[in-house]
Amino acid sequence: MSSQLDFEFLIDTFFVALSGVPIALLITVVAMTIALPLGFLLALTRINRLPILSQFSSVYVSFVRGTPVIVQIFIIYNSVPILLEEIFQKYDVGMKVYDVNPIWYAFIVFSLNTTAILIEVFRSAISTVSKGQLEAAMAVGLTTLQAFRRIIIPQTLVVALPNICTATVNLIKATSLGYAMSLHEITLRAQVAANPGYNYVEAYIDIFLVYLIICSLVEFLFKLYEKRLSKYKLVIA
Amino acid sequence: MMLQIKNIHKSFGKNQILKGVDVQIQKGDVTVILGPSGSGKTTFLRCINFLERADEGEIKVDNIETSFNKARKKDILAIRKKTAFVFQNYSLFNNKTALGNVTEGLVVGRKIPKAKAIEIGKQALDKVGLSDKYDAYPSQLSGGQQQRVGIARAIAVNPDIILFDEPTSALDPELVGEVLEVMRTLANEGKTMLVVTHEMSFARDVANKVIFMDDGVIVEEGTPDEIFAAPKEVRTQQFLKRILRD
Repeated sequence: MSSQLDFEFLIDTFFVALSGVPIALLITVVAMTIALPLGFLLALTRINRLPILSQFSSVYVSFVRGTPVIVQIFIIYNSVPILLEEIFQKYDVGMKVYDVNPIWYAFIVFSLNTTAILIEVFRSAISTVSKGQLEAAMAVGLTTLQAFRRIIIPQTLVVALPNICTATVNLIKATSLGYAMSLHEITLRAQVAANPGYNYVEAYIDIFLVYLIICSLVEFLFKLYEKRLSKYKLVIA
Repeated sequence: MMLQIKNIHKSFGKNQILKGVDVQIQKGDVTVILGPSGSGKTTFLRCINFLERADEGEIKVDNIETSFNKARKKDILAIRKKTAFVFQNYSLFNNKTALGNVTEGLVVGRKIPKAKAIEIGKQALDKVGLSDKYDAYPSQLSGGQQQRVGIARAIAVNPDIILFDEPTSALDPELVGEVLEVMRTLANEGKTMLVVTHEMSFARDVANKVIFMDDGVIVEEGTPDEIFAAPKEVRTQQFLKRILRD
């Protein structure tokens, strides 16, 4: 093992790590696309205390929040294949469980995980929008759906956005745990590159930098969006 | 008959708030509901617009007739489109400009083309004296200005009747006048109004009918002269004595 950093390896591996970015972002986008509407709807069930669904959301949130993501990954990654195998056999699907791309398991784990986080984010955000806003929308002749689309959701979003940003950044970082399902994302790619020459320090620096760059970029984009959405709040009388 | 309410009942849990109230309002009437707090005035108003669901009773607005407990979504939406509501705390849409607040019910609720809606909306804002505030957000407006936008939002949809729920109660004293002035103008133009208020001067000068409510029932009703100069019921006399002394 050399005591000096191998700069050539550092630079080469940076691009190797970078090549894992599309996978990390794909998982993030898929998980968010599923979790945003689902989290919002389940948050509504909690606020309106809908029977069954509300209790379900509450228990669901506790389960997800009370367990480490890595454990959730192990559970899904080890249990879903068994389930799939039975289904494949029963319906005679000519496909082997081990042919299934691990990214599908990642979609499942991270969607479930992010949904739980967003339920809580939306629950607090929705409750900051006063009941009067919905009543006023009803009074001017909007349907409930129109009222939500035009009045409630835009205001909820402004309040929720900083927390959605945090959830997104956490999600991007959490995709690094995908290595545990042999998912070829940022972390695993750099680590594999480091294996032959034991250049782990260089590889970890690269991984560190790649996550830092993506997450900062995402934060910046969220800030821009937040500024645009909340223009009605920034104005001073 | 513009609005007819028969035998309306409403309870919150064990608390019976409305115990059989009947009201009839003709086109062009300005009716003021007076009464101590907790008498059910606001609940009554909110039930008309189905912001609260009354337990019992019938409602007729223009040609729509239904009962409170059986009214379906379609009836409720139809009644809401024929009425307008001015809230005590304004309840302007925070994410919309003054003009956006006024046009929302036109464009989204009534499918009026946007250009036409903007024209109507600007006229409504002009009428309440806010020609220079079309693009202001609620957070940029004073309480009095916000409530005038609230009134513009109500008149823009050209409702059969406007319901006012204590429109000046949340205002600083020096801002009450500008809102009452707008309401006075609307009354003079023949708009049908049902107003819950503590503004005795408005009731006396502008209303053509005054209803005194207490404990979920109508205690007494009549012209302002009858109610203010010669109240028949003891409860009305006591209430007026308390209020007018201040």
